Amino acid sequence: MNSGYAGSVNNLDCIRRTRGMSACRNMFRKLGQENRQTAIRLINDNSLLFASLFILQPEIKDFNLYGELSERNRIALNICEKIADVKKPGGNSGNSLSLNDETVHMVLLWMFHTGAADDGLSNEFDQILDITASILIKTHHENAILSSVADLIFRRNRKGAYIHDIVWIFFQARNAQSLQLIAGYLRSPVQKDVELARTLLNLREDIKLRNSSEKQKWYNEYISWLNENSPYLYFTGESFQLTNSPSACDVNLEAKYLGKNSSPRGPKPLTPLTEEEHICLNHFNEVQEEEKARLAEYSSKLHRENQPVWSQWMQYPVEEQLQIAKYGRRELI
Amino acid sequence: MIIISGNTVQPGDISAAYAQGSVEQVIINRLAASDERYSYDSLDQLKFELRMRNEIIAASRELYQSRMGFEVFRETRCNPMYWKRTSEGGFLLKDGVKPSDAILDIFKNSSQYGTECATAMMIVYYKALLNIFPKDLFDKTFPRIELMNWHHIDRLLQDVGFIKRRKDYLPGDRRYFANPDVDPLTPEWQGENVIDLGGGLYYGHGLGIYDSESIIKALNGNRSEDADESAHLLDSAGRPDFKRLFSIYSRSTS
Repeated sequence: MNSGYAGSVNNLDCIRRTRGMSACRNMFRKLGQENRQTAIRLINDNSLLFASLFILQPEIKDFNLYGELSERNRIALNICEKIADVKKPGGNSGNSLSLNDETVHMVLLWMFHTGAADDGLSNEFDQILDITASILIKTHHENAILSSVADLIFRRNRKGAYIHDIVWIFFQARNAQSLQLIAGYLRSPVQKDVELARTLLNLREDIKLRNSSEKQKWYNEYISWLNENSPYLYFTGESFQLTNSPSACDVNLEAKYLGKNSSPRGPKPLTPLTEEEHICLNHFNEVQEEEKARLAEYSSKLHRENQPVWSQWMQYPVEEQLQIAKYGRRELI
Repeated sequence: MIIISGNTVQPGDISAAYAQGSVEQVIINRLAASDERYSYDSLDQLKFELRMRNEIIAASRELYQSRMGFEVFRETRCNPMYWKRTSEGGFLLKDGVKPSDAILDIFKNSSQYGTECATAMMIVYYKALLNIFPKDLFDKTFPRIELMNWHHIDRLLQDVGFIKRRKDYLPGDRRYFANPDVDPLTPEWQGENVIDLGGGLYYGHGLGIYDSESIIKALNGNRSEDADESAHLLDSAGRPDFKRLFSIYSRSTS
């Protein structure tokens, strides 16, 4: 994965990546002693990656450089401090940084986009990456990072590293795009990716995903299911903390039956129901669960294919709707 | 309704064997009063479930009184004499160590351990079983233990990981308080795994023993600034396969 930021490579990043963290810190320490202005120029450089700023925190403190840092760097260090603070017993040391701020949003994006490639640097760094993603997704509703978060989940999984928090954060976006991104990994040549994708999409254990044609087949099936159901999906909030088989989302059958978008937060409609829709749902809720699924599926298909005929079908009593859904009816075909 | 060997049983027929107001009596009365049919092959099978539920509660209280700390998975710790910490933050039983000794060590040297609420639940189940199974049987039944959450879980305990809606909720059930609007800075407060101790109390590692109102209050104290949804107890529970565990136990003791 690239850093997400094109452009020239910063010397600090180059040394850190080729010769390691210690070499980078030593070089910066030497610069701080001998050529303070160059040290400041390098660390404030636009192309710097977040990981380099992160590892140089002790040197920044020792050489009292904070006041000379760019706004981006100062905010990033404040965010790190805020994250570290809440982990301490008793909590808050008075860091008043507002995470809702738009400048903070931009800095969080820089931290995540340029930091994700260095995942695994240290536990503390990885935790900051997770929480950065969490703030971006939960506070700023930033869906532009979902693809990078998915990539991070699967890279960690290949290494056998901890993924439960980042998976939970990913699905907090409550966005069907998340499911599409995960589905892409059903076609991965790496079997560990495929198995994780199966788990995250809650696909049945007996579905065979052994070769590329089986993988492609189930990918196509899933995408087709997703296209049909995405307006009616809601996200359950289930996580690996709760269960060994979390189901990230479910279909709101009532919404599907009414042809009305579901709220992604729960099994309720996105917009208020009309009087007529309330009446329809009262009848709908009188039938058995499997019959509800059948009615909802038929309704959604008819709604897509022929709206006037769907409107006519919706006027029938629910028993008749069910008969038509089961056996068809000439005047509706 | 309780059915044993195909016959409906009155609660009084069974509950007399237990102390007045005991957990077992509470469970028997709740099962008997329910519309759900709770079927058992034998009275011993029911008695095993009652005993195990009681031991789950006892193990929860014992773990609560221990000095095991709360740590997020990235920072978990364990006694390296018995356990190997995995890259995910779980504890894997070391080669050559007796599973029963390793479980007991968590209670004996509890200050050397720190983990999340889900791992604590797994520790509770193993300790409850260790209080019932003879040590040799426990070691033979669970030769490879990995403690984390509902992953890498022993097949015999897999059912506690499947949390689902129940007609009745009983002391000894695993429940979950969800906190959908958790503060993004503290994802560890996204929810709390708990054991229902009966009498309206729950044990959650890191929180302690409280009623649902207090647990919800604690979780709500860790929500985001723009939160509009309260933490709540999910209408679902996880339970071990008591009947399967009983069949292993009864085979060894017969």
